[in-house]
Amino acid sequence: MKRVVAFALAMFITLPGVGAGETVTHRLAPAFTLPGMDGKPHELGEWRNKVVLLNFWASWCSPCQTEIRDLVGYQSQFGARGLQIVGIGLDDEVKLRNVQRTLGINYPVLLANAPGNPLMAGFGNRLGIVPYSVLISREGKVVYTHAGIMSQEIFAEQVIPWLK
Amino acid sequence: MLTRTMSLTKLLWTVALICPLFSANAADQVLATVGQVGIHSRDLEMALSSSPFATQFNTMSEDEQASMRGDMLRRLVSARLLALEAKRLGLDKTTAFKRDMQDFRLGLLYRDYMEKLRSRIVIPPNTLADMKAHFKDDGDGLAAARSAYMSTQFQALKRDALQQLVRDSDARIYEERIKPGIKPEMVLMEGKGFSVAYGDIVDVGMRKSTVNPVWIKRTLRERGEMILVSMAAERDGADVSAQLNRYSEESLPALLLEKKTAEWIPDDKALRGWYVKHPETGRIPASYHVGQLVVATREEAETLRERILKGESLFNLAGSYSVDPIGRKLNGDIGWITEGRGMPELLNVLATLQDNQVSEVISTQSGYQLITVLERRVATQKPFEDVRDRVKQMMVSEYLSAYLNDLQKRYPVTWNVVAAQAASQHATP
Repeated sequence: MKRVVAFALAMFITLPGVGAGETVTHRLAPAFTLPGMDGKPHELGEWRNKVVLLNFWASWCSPCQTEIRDLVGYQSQFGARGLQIVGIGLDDEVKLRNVQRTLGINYPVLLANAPGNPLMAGFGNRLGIVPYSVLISREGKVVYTHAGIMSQEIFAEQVIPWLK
Repeated sequence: MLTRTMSLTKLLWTVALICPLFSANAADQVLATVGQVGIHSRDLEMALSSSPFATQFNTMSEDEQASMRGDMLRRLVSARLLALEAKRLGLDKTTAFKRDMQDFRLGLLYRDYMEKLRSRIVIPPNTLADMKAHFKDDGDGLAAARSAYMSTQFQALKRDALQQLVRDSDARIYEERIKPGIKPEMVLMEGKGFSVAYGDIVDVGMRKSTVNPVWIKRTLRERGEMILVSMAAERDGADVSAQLNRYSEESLPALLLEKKTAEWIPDDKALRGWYVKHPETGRIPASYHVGQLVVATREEAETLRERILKGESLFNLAGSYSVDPIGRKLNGDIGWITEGRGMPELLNVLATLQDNQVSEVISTQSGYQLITVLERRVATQKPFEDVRDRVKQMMVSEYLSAYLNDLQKRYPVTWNVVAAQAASQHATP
């Protein structure tokens, strides 16, 4: 058994993080203001005292759409426990709106309007990989980042414990 | 509820109109009936979500999505018509089709068994704790380590399970029977409840020469593994009949289409004959790089033409006097006009106007125009070899359309319009 664990650790310990960005966890989340789909500007501070899951996505991104279906369910299930998912769309507003309507996105979506958004780099994703998710604690600290689809298992392990 | 029978073309438009009424979450509805078989809204949603443009579909406007649904439903109706006819013609009884279905069934059962095997793997709490401690702030690293652990465990579990299945089945391989002149019915592997003959792994009709024995042995073992695992999956209660039925419904239209295509287009002569009758398929129309000046009155146009004839530039004058805002912004350089796609009054003049000469004043709906040709590309006709695939595609499309209409006489298409407020206003037969 130990050999298997050692193999698994050795295999991945030398690989760079998928996000290939600097470590941003345990730092205060950088403040930002972006226009929302509702036409109003929104800043991160609006959701202070909530556990915020920022989800960077693009309309052309198939894995993003797959993940969004899960996120919609999480927002319904865990919203009352303080979870606030905030989508950040990175491309064409019209297409983003159509995806929002078609998939029934039930959380705010903000418009970054740039594929290589510096905001995403500021959150540790300099390669611009999408989907990319950032978990921010009630105290405003980045506590977890995740590149690619966040599986239900990872959501249960990384996000739910912060919702106590 | 409004029920009508109509042609596929009308059907397309009707669906485009009413499909906004359907959503993925709506109750399942029968959208159309082909013969005795219904096409449900869940079939349509499944077809859309598994199509190559599923991601793009979600980015479309409601009207575009409705149109896409209509197009997809039309395809489903066509596929159902072809599947029904394929069955009537007995294409589902052919050896090749049965072999294909059997291979697909084995594949499904194999996957089912392996997925259940994988689901039995649990990372022991202590091991998981070690991983979490190591990848404290690296969720990606933790996920990768777990995945590697699961993969290693799965390989071991799969090896053990296969060995057990081989022992339980008392499987034996007769390698000594693999030699030149081997008959299709020769059994090369057998065990409790199964056997594999040479003809099961080699399509003797397709292969005239003797097959490499090494390849036969490898294929035989793979086939044996597939059969043993599939039998185990069935003993465990796996049921793949729904997927198998879907696969059959998708395969039969393709088989029939292949057969009909061979009838419609027996050889290149048929393709060449069609191309002779439809030369437009391979015609590249003439095009002209045009300079243009537009003004409101004939008098002004005549005055400007005189100035051009005396040496002034049409382009400079267009930048100053043209009433067409885009043309004025571009100093009269309006780019390329392709034969058949512009104003006929201009195209008629372009065909005979010498390069770099100014035209007479031309009256059009935009005003009074002067034009000049900077550069031209003459029309060309592509040789048959260059458009062969396109000709074949168009020929098949033409024949298929008529064939589908014929099939509707045998298998009537009934269109069930639900929530008919919008449809009843537009769906005129």
